[in-house]
Amino acid sequence: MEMQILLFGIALPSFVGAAFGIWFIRRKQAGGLDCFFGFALASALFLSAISEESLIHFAVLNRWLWFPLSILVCASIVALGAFFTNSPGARTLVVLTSTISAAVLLNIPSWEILINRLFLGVGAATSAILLAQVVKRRKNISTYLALSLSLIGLSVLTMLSGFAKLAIPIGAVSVCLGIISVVHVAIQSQSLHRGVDLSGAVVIASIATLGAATGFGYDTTNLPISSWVIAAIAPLGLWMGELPMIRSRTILSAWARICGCAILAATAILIAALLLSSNSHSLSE
Amino acid sequence: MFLSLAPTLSIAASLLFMLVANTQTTPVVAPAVAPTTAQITQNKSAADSTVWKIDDTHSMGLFRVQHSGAGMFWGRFDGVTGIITTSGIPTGTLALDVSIDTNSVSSANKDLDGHLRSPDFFSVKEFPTMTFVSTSSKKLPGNMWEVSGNLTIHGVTKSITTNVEMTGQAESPRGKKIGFEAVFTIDRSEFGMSYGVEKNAIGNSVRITVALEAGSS
Repeated sequence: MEMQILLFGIALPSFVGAAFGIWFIRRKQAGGLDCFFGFALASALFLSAISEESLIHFAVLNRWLWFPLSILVCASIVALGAFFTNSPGARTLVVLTSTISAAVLLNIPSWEILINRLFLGVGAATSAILLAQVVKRRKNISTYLALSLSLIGLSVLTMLSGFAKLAIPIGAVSVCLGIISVVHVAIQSQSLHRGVDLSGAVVIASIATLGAATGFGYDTTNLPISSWVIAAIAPLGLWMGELPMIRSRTILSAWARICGCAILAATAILIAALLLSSNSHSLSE
Repeated sequence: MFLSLAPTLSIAASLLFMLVANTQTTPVVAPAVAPTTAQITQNKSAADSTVWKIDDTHSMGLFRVQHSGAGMFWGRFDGVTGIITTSGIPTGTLALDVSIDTNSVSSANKDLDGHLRSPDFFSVKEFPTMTFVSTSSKKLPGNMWEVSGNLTIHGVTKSITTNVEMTGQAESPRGKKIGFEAVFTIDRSEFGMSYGVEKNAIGNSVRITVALEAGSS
């Protein structure tokens, strides 16, 4: 049975996402389809989520499914927006529109108040803009690998909170990015150096931010909010590679980017694990 | 032209999806049942009927489900509240209005409890109670009744029929006491709780035992 969860919850969605992602990246020369890379990641998330849950009555009985759906909407808006415009101002507007739309759709416990969801959307937009700035600086394997590690952190944190159905889709996106990084190494194709770009950055930032918000909203184990916040900003660990003394050294910068994301993800997990461990002790005493 | 249209198109698309989101319905969750003084008084005035308030300390819900196609996993709920209305015991009718706090689920394992409270199972933040409200009852031989009613779990209401046994009745300085027990089986996927069913990790069929003790003032 664990094999079925691995197959339908993680392996198949992540392979589908990776295949579409790589195809979209390689289509850049043929017409700019790389702006659909984020849509490929969102598809992996959505496919994995519906492998765990029926879509029937999802709006009422399984409201957490608004999370993968909102990411799909976010990916569609940013893909179309990025496809039709190159102006920095217009693209910023597209990012804001996509993340705020996704956050507004996120009608889950602890986020019923619209204004809170609007703030969440603005937070996701800020994270997306910062991530978009850093991913376009270096288009190599370190970006995919670091982002994959950052989402593993959120997936593990969600699992610790007891919400396996949310942890698996986020894990699938993480594996999807891992597969792309492996293909990147294996093929060594220049076309894969197009990178994550705007759509990927927006979708990854939205998954991290809104995924953490969803996990926090449903959490009944009272994991500290700091864990969720750190997991939400873990993709921004890429900025560690842009520190003044590091950024000029390519290899060192690549490692710093990976370490930056890994440290943030590990910190989020460590804080949560320590709290759960201390609670267990107090119960047994 | 595309450059100027793109943001407008994006905003229009997002507004459309927000409208769709606003049309989603909120699940109707039955409120926790707490008998009011007026309700008890009114019911007491009915001929031969007695209203009993469920004692949440001495009442519980137990469930049993198969794990990994092998052993049976047991869990329990405390926080059982509500009222029982009897008429002409031991031969009359029986009415149950029971509410269980889903957050009170316990398996004696903290990690498992967290998982049981999550949307994988009871989703306690969305569905804080599960309820049973009887609609009819039929006296059977002995201390048994056949009770039909509406069972609401995870926001889904289904009609069920179960046998209810009166386990005892006593009178003490603290007042009259009465006990009932019901055992019935449900398919949890019918209530929207399908985690692990298709993969046979956790069984679909769940046997539920509800043990009630109630007092009459």
